Amino acid sequence: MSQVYRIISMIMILFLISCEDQADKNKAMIMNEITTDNVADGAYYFNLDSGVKDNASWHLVFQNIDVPFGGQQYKMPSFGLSASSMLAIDSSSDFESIETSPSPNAFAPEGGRMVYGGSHAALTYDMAVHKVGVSNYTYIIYDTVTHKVFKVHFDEYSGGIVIFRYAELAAS
Amino acid sequence: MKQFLFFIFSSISFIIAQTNDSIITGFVIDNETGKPLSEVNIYLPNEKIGTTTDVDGKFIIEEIETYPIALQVSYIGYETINQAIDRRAIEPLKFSLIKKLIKMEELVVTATRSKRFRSEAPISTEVISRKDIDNSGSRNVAELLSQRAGVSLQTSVAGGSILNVLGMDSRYILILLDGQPITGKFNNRVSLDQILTDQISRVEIVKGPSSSLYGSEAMGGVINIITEQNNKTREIRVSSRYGNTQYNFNESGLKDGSSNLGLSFAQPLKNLVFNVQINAEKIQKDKSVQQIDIDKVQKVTLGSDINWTLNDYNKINFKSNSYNQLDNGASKLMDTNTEIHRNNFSLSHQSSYQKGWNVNQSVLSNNYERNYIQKRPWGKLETDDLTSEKHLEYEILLNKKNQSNELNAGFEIYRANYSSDRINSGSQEIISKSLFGQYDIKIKNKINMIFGMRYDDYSKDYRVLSPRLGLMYRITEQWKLRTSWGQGFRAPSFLERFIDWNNVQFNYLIEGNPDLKPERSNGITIGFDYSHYTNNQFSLVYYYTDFENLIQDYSKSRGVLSYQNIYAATFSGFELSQQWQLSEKVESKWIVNWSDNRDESNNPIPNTIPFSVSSYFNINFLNNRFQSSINTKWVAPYKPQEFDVRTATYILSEEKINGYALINIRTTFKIKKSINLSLVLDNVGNYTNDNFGPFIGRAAYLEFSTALITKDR
Repeated sequence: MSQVYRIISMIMILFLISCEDQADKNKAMIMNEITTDNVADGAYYFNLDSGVKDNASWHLVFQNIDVPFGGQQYKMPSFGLSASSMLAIDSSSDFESIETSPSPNAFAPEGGRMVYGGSHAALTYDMAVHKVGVSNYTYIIYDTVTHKVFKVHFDEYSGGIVIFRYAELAAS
Repeated sequence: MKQFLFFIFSSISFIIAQTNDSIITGFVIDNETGKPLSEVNIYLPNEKIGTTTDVDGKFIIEEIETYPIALQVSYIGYETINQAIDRRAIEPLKFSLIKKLIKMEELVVTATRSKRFRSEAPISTEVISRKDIDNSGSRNVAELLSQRAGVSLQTSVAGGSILNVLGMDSRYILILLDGQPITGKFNNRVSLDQILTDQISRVEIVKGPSSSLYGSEAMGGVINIITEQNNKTREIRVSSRYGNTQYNFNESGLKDGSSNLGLSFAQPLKNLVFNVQINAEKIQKDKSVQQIDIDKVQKVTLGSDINWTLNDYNKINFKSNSYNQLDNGASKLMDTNTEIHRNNFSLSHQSSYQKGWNVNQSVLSNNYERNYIQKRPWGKLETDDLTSEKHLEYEILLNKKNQSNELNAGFEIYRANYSSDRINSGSQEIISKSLFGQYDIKIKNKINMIFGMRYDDYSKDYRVLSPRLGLMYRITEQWKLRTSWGQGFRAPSFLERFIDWNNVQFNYLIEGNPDLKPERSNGITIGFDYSHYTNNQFSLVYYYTDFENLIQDYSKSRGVLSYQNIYAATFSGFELSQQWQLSEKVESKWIVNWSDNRDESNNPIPNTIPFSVSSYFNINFLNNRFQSSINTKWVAPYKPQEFDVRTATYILSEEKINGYALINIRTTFKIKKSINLSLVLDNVGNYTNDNFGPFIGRAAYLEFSTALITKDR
């Protein structure tokens, strides 16, 4: 009988362990899809950790910025990062397949890379068809306060609204 | 019984006529078929009188005072007969006309607004025939024209595509549908992808300014898309096509391809001939539409053409064309729907009078509507732009023709109404009146000269005078020299004059300029051509057109864009073409185009393709059961246009686009006498350029067509 209890106990433990692993994995890879407000209505601040719009504590900002154009200033939609966030760009991997954070030395201050006109701007303006489009980069964002890492991908821009997806990454 | 009585009556008339010396009678038949020919010109050059044959090929000429007389019998497509007649002829005269060997000869109408053989037209005209259209495998006129050397499709900064013809933006080339301007433009240009090739019989291209005949927009040339149907038999024709791009095939397999279904029907009823055409096309997830964020396009055209011959001198024609397009695009953030409706109606009365006078009166009504709706998936309406145009026109054309000269004159009056949420006061209207005349004179069968002039009055805002001179010198029977000079203009569009639109997204305003002047052109063409009726046509044309007052957008003040007349340019080039029927089974055609287009500072104009070659080769084999044609086009390296963000202007790119070749192959298998199955492979080399086009790679179409001829007239 004790043999039976022992086998049942081991199965239960294995089950719990497997559930726990799976739960951790699922937690790491929960994908969130966010639809912003219209940028024409004002700046939109988003906290990746809490997953809500938050004007006080945020990682991403979506706002209109002044862009010089032919000697004049025009308002263009742009994304930016908070001062407490650092940025790494992944242009080679598929967004879905990225599961772990890159090494810490891959991160650097945003430094204007992500904003309109930057080297890896999230939103671009196609002069050929007069249309705003989204880049295909994956933006890896490191929160220097909580030490959490998130991957972000911008899926679509239309008439002042953006859809983006993000997920928290496991430490490397 | 009716026919018997008619025969008796005709015979009595003939007998009576023959007893009278002042009257001559006769009849004209086709030498080959023996059938009577109607509307044959019977002319007495010395007496300067004439008539035409009736539906039974018979004619009577009265009031002949002296004999002998010289009599001339002429008919388009047949050898002319010159014969001396003395008074002793007591039988009705019989003339058997012999058909000219006109395998490669076509009737053209665009250069003079009257029918001429292409080889005889004083202004050089290129024809893309129905056969060329079939062998091209093109779905619409944009695709058809872009296969030709000297024509290219560019991405428009305001959406859609711009067709460049001979290096010129298509807004400087007047696009006509059956001789009439097309109402409803997008971004000041006709959307040629909205005209499906299934409904057209031929396309005529005239190079050089032609505003003396057609008025506004004919600055660099005219492209006339002709739907004319000449069915004399009851006929039902059905065609079906399924196509798939390589990209699409890999993604979705067969289910998301493009399909086209066409049906045409002709029914002659004594003096009435009905032609009805229906064509439906569905394009799904094709690269051509995905480029503009559209998932699905549906196009339906319905055309009808009714010809009623009242008697020998009067004909009535009613023509209608209805085009409907629905575009759908959906994403997580926006559902976009565009509805386009274009309805054209025309009623014409053609009458013939004594001494070669013909009068053609037409009333035309064209309506266009475009509704662009953007709605969020959660229900919020973002955009609802409705643009509508109404065009009502009356025109009268007079034509008098004899052996040595021809006069064409006309008067047009129209009212055009444009309403849009994007223009001042929401609606604008103009009334335009135009008067034109063209005189064409032949001198000793060697020289053909043409003088034309047109006066346009646009609601008293603009008054434009457009002259044209043309000369054809027949060096030999085969070789001809043609040259022409003309002025053209383009009246500023409603949008350029009255737009008042704020781009909320980018926070700039576009203001129209009501004081804009018409754009003007001044151009010459000169060329030689060789035409052998049976198998060979060759031509070399040089064209030079000087443009001034071109309208360009500019930054009026901070955040405000507007239009002004500032720009000048010259467009010039050579075009060499040959069409050669090597044998009954083998035919080839090629065009070589050199273009040199410069702005006012003598810098090359962006998007000019300096050199391009297109060729077409067709072969029939296995007793004409198989037909295979290859269309190729090679485009030399050229510099495109790019946007300079520092100056906010479009400039010539430093980087050249490499030369490329496009090859299309079409093979048709004749299953039975009137059942054809075709396989078309477009862009065999799979060349694409995501920024400047072509956007669609390799594509395949399968087409089935059948003609059911049930009864002769």
